[in-house]
Amino acid sequence: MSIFKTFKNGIWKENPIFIQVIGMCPTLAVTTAAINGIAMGIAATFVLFFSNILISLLRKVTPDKIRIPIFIVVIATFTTIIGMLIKAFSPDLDKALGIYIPLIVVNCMIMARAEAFAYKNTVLQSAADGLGMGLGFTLALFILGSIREIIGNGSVFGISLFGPNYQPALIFIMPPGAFITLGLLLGFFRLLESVQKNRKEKSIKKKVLLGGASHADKAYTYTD
Amino acid sequence: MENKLYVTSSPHFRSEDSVERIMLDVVIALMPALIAGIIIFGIRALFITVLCVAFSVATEAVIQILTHKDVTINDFSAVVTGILLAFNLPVSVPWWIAAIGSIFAIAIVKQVFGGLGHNFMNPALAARAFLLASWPVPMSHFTVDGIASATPLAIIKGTEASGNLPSLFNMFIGLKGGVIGEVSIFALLIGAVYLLIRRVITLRIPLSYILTVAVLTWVLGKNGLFTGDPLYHIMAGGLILGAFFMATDYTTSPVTPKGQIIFGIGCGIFTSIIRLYGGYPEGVSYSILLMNIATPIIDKYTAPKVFGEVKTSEQ
Amino acid sequence: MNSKNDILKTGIILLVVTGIAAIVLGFFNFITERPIAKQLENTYMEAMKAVLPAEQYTKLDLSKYKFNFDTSGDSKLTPDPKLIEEINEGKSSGNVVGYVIKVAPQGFGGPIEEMIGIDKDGKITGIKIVNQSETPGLGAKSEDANWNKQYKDKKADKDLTVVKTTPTQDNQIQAITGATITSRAVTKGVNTAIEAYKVIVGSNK
Repeated sequence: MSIFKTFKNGIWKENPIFIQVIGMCPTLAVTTAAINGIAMGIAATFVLFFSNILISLLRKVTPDKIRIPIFIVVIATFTTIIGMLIKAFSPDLDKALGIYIPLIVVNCMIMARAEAFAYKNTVLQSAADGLGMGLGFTLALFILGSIREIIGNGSVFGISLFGPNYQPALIFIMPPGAFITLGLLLGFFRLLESVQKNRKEKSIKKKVLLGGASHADKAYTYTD
Repeated sequence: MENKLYVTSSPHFRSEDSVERIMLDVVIALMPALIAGIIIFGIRALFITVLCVAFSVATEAVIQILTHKDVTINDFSAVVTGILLAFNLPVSVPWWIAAIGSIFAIAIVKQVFGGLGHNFMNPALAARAFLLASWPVPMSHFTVDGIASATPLAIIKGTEASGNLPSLFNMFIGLKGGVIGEVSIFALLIGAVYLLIRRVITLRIPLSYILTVAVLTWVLGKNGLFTGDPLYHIMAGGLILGAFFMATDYTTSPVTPKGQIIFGIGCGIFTSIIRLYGGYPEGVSYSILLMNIATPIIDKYTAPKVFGEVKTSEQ
Repeated sequence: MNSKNDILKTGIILLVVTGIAAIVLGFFNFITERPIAKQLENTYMEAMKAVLPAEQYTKLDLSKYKFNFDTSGDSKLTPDPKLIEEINEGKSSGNVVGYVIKVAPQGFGGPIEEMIGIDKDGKITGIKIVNQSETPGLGAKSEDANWNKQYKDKKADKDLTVVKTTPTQDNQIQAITGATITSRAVTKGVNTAIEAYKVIVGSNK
């Protein structure tokens, strides 16, 4: 697979949230606002990118038996580094995300990409995969966070949308709202998928039918 | 799926019961409580109820048309959901909250999971929980004749309100703060008796539910063991409405007699715990929802043995 | 023999990987240690400055004081010495200007950490919620500076109470709509701070 294709794969076709449905813990916990979703996504992308590269580099010397402990050490190291950097140099971001950064360690998306991709592929491919999956994750968290913030707080990126008379549905920025929104989004994407599939099948059928029938049709019209 | 022919061995039963007949009975049984609600809270109680019914039925029709299913609004099930939801709202609730609740109940809780008979939770109660979490202030603002008045349970709890408790007689006929359908115990019991006579429901769930609450609230009283007031706890809040009309919902309660008693006791335990120790003054709706979720597993473990089944000693 | 070698080999590889990880982490810890400490101090100082302006703060040794409060009455509002976390004495040009008292009363969703500033005349100069996990949209509004303003300039002579309507008396605080439990918890914290202040001022005399 070309590097660009690998990269694109993570964003849409194999989107970690909407298609693979992995990494649910941070997805449900942090998406109370659009900005939180993006920040969490970027932090996870950072960890995923570097851990994918390193695990791919180490794949030849990593014995099969202890690959999981090694993945965990690598992922935990990068998570701790980004946690410390954010704490030291961006206190505002730390206030919004501080308690969620350590959660990246248990984000099964990162573990899954290490096991399913980086451990078996070249460094360049793994880097593209990490970046693509990370951006797909970020995109999904952004969509989820925006919807929840708009309905649950009447704002997006903290900017009020509907004026002071709007009474937000608080449940959407509470945990149950995360499940409801994610469930509806997953349903929506399945619907899109099936519509696309139907259209494809129909067009193939049409072609076959037209292709097969056109000669007979012509013959028929000529004889008429 | 509906057109599949099933081949089964005899005996075959022919039953007069149909969804329409049962749901119509429930609607009739809910009428006394609706009338009591209108007398106590004024004409707005009727307005909210009609609004909820209209939105519930319309939502059901729209979704069934969009998904190319048979439109089944004639079976009264959406009507029942609408009435029960309205019964769970305070009379002063803004109309749009009632409308959103009806749409949520039918669209998200009922139709998304496959429509009548497939919902895993009571739609009206799930919608109430959704609304209470979304707009807690208007959803817990209770008035009688336009004057703000706390519910008896909130007064007992003492966290959110203070005031004098209404007398037992007033509680029985319904002169107290609360949601539209729960206040008049008298009217609710008339409906319950009708349902029992028509054999739409049995006493298993309501009785085990109410008795459990009575025993627990009596034993675990505020001032030590055996000091509680069970009669008060039975009549305050939504216990009667919940026990007779919502915990008995066919889809979301167990089918086996033993399971129904376990279901009722479970509801009673949760209600008592929430009322006595939880953050909310009232716990009927949450406890029924919790037991709704437990229903499949209760059914699984209380399923009767197939006649003639022989115990195998292979394990 | 073979399996023994295998264990040794994997062990060594794991040791090397974790060893490198430890070195890398140590390096980053070295870089970020001081900025992190400084950031923490800054946020703490800013919170203290917000509730009680002073040039310099010194932490008091709480074990020197005996906090015996009168705990009769409504237990949801009466002061509780267990809630006191930290007390700082604020000084400007050598004189004591007041105290910043940090308390952590139990709210609806967990402890609410709040700082209360009381000046030397026994007047509350401000409160600030430092950390809370209350319900968004309800109890979380306790962070709102406008609501916190109610506590400002209250005299530290009698316990504050919480009402649901517009306050009619000096010692009344209007509850956040739909979040009475949170409002009471915050007020209980303030009452505790008032009592702690009295103890400290009393023992300094």
